[in-house]
Amino acid sequence: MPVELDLPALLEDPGFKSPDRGGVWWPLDGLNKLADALIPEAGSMDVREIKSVPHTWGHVILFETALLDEDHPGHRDAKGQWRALLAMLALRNHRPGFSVTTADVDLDGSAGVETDTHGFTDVAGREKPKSWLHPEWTWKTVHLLYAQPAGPSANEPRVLIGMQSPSTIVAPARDFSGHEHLEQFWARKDGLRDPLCDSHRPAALAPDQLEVCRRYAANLRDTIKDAKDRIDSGAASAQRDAKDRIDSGAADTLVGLLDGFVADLGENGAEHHVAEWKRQEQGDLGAGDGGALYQAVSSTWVADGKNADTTDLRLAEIHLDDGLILKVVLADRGCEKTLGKPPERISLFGHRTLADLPPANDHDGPAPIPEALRDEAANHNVLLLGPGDLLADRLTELTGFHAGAHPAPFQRALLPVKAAALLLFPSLEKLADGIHRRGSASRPLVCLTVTLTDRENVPYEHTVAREYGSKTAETAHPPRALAAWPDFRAPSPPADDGSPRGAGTICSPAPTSASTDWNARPSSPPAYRAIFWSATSGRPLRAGAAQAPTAAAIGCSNGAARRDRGRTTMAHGRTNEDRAQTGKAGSSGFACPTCADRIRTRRACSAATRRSRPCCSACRPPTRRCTPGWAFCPLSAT
Amino acid sequence: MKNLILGLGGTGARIVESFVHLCATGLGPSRAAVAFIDQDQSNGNTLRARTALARYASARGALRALTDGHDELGCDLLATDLCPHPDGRDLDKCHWAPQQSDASLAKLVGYNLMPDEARDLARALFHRRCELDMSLNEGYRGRPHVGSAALLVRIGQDEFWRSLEDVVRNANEEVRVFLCGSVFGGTGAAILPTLARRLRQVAKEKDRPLRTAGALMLPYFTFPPPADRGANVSAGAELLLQSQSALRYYDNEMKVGGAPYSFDDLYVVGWRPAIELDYHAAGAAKQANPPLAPELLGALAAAKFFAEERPPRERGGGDEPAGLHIIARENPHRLTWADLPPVTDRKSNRAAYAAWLRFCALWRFNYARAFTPDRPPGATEEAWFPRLRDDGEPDARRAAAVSGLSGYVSTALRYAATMSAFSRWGGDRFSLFDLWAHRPIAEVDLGDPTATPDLASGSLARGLTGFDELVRGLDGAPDAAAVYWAVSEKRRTKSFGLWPFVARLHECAAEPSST
Repeated sequence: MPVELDLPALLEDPGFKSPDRGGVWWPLDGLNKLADALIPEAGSMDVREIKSVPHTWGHVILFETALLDEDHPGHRDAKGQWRALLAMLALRNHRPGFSVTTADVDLDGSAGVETDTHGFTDVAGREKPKSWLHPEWTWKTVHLLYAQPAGPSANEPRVLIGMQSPSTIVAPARDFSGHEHLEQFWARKDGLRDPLCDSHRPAALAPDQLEVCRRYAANLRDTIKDAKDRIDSGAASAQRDAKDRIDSGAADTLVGLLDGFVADLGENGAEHHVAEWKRQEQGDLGAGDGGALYQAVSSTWVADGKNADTTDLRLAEIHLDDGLILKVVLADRGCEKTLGKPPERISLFGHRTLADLPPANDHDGPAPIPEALRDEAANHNVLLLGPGDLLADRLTELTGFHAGAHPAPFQRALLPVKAAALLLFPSLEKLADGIHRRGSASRPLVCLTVTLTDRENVPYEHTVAREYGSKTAETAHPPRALAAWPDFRAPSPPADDGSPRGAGTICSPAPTSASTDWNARPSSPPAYRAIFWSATSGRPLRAGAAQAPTAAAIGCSNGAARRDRGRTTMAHGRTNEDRAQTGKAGSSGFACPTCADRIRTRRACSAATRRSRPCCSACRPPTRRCTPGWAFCPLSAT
Repeated sequence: MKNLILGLGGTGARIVESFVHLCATGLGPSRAAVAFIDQDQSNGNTLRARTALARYASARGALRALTDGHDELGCDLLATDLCPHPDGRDLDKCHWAPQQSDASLAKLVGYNLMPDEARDLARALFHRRCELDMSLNEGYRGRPHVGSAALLVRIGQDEFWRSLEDVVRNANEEVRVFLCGSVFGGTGAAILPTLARRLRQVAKEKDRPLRTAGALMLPYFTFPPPADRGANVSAGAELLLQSQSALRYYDNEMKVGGAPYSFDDLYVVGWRPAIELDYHAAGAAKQANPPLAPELLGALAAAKFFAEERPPRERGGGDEPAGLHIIARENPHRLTWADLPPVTDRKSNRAAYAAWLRFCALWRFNYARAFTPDRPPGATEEAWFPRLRDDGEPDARRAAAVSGLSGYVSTALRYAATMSAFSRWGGDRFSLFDLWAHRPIAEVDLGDPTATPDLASGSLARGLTGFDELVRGLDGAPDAAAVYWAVSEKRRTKSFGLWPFVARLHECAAEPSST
């Protein structure tokens, strides 16, 4: 017969043997089993909201418990904080915006370190935790971790972020005041969050930062595994002696957590684009207790820097004559929809992400790319192109004009592309295929579909669109002797006449020798050249000579370094044939690894619980003094 | 053997309150010291438990002063020699508030005078504003880690704390300490493991035999806001989450910390569904919740722990992990005598509690009248009355005993009435506290858990016709008239006086099988 446990609500199958009858004390074989069975639907919660561990080190103990138990309601939060601290250690010397320092507190009172005389350190020392991963790294000294803000907050005091923990490598500080000065997206005034998957705000690590973190975490994982393997095999006598003090299960769990961290970092990592990484033994995280694990904690990874930058928005690569590679990168906030990722996780270049671009303004067209960002990109050998660099500022319809070689919607109009767009198509036919006109007659929408590739060379088709309204669409009579370029026939645009037109479709008086057949499309792509104008000066910076079919000769307006070179360069777009060879995509998209359907973008793939006796009449107390109406007869009053 | 029971926090105090009344039934140990630790000096639960202890001790002391020459009676009523710790007399000293007024953990540890690194270590473990600077006047507010640190900082600095350690340190016989508290609150949750750990350390250091056990109370009552039951569910879920983490801590402490283990036995008690108390009652704020059935289980666990005969304790103790104990009831909607764990084989819980409660009712609603100035006419003519006369019994001493006993009886009846009235779960229609009834004793306002039941409002105050309905589950127990018949019966005894009469009344009120 089932009984009802005198306990709070438990799971239907609590995982321990229940009493077979009521009213007897029944043995329970572990409070953890009772804990596991207590809450039928435990949701995820902030581990800092759990305050019920009755121990001076309760915060650290609770953090350890939550981190190592994936069923713990605070596990997700603890894991996020743990990852954030590891990331801060890994990135402390890698463009982090902060530096990490330590301070040691001697809990054994044997290291001559000044301690307080008011009992707290004494209490903390007597009560210090009893678990650690590695026998060479114990709780006798606590290494507190601080972050010193950089940048505008550099004058702010250092911020206590946590401590090194012999049981979990790192543990966050209970008091997280001051975190707002760190200006790191995963360190906020309410504490640390997972730098990879923050539900409150999409987090971002630049690709090179991801790689640093990945290597740091992998090194920690390998060190713990190695230490555990050696101890398990009894390789070192000193470690054998300490074997009983090592929680093997906890070590395995921690290795698993590090594995997961590495995998998540790798998925977004920039490994394919990083030329060379070096591990450095920094020894800058306090005196330490020695040991391989501690060395792994205090190490860092540094890239050689030459080839470390990558992007998720590559349109083309231009091999400059001096051997440098100029990357052409699409700087369009709309790419987050195409890639199916938050802008903070889409690498633009270096540690810049799509989130660094100003948001699009629906009324005024695409927001211009900040000039400072263009300059910064140039220093990374990156040419940023925004929608405003690809589509013309005005859509010009010409009465009485017909260019049969133009795509049908534009046969009576100047092709509304700027010269830079020519860089992105291997042939003019592809350009014609890629440009479309939609919307109404009064508010035409011009769409230009380009192909971009992410850091793993996965191609995405992305459409840059611009709506033309009454102020930006015009109808005009073509001037006499019009020459429109590209006209898919003329080898080059008309000679520059010095008029400030800005980059874009060039319309000028026809060359004198023109014998223009506007209805004819050339049998082979002509050689052409594009001219870039400075976005600020409005003057052409350079013009290069035409080199070959499908090639564009450009000059670069992005930064002084490029200006100095003054050389003609070549740009090659990838053809569909090239993409087919990668086996990933064509014009119809790439094969989904889950459903095998051909889909256009990754984002589109979603395949995947009485006696009542009349006393006065019947009651006869055997006494001589017995009289009716006894005062204390229980029923006399009734 | 020395026995010490400590009520830690509000929940712990209520378990001790139940233990005091359990001792009145005769199920308790021969002797036990009692103390309360609660930072909240005005905690209604602790005050009520102290009152119960004071009246128990007063009644027992006055009655036992009349027992010279009456040792042959062997009455179980008020059998346990309960005394307040540490000095055995002063009830004020048995309630220890660890911190002084206006204390905070930061002040206790001299935070502002600490070196930077030590301060940062404190901030690494405690939130500065919410925990280090938190006023401890009204307890630890659900933050037992703060309480644990605050307690340990006081080690060696406080007379009461030293007295607890001295119980172990100076013991020449086995010491048994039973700690009562919740795992989900602040004060009790903080002190329970911290004190157990410290006492074990002392036992190990001084090589003294110590057994330690605890009643770990999991959530068993709740305060439902009538207009928003959903929110109550959330609050209940949070208590369970906090309990879950605490249980994992206890488990981990045993596994990782290893020997010496703090506890020899842990009794884990909760309730499903949680017993609902009126959220809007002042009790929620004053921490004066009514006694509830699960606390009775905690008290019975303590009695079992003190009563168990075990092989002599290894010096220091704590060599084996704690024995963990849970308990169940046969019917989810009822709590019957069969659901209470036995304390000894000598006497059943039902017999002990029935005799105790029926005695209290008979005394309060009938026989005590004989000792009042306005006693009924003809009282002295009753057959039983002359046996109260004992020429060797001074009137003053007898008056004190009557007063003491009446005081305790009133306290006991109110305890019984409120426990019966408020121990409801899963809706009134379905749950049944089937040990005794409150309506014969007093009408209880279920909307105000802090209200003192008026003993004049019960049916027994109007006559003893409802006496048989007082204790449930009794077969063949004498009714009030039969008891009256029995106490009036002429017996061959040399014992005259108040104490023999009380013993006789207690004996006659019991079930026949137990007499």
